[in-house]
Amino acid sequence: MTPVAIAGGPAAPSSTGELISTYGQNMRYVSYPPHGSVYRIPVTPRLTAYVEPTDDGFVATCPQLESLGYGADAVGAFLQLLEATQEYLTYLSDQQPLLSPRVAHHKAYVRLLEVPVTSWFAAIGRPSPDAS
Amino acid sequence: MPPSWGEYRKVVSRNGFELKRSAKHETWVQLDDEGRVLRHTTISHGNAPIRDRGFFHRLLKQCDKTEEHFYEVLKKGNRSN
Repeated sequence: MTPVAIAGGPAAPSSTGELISTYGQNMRYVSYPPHGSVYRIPVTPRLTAYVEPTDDGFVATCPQLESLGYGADAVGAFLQLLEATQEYLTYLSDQQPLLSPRVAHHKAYVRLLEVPVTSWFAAIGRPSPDAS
Repeated sequence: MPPSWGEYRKVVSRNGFELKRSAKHETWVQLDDEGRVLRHTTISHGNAPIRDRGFFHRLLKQCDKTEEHFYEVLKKGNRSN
């Protein structure tokens, strides 16, 4: 699990937390005034899916893992994306290949194999017009 | 005539991708000079046509290749066969 540390405690006010995120190490911290306690809560990062229409159907993409799916409708495209993502993560988990810096962050998502696939994607939407 | 999954498989293979897993789909991976994973792509089994141009272009983007390169590689391969 990706560890998360949250600083808090009985005297810690709830509105003065400062979020510090270090994606490279998959650590997330919330720090409160110095006298608070620190809590470490494991968090597995979730994925995002973008679904958009194409000439004859729909394409689903996952920017975090660069996975792809296609279907006659949006649901079909998303389900194929899910399958492609699952197979790629299974390959990473089974064979544990070395990852280049370009895709080193993919390793953090292997933990998703331990949770239900229905929870893998935190957000599904259409890509913004600026997205390439 | 739209490209086929067989042709896409041929082109990615000639671009250094290797088949690493075959289940519901095929998972192909491109390694860098140090043997580390650089990119991956998923290929459907068989040789059905890839009719949707938008999807085909997304596949090419996944491999960081252009449509021009795709057909050049196919043409070279057909000449040498």
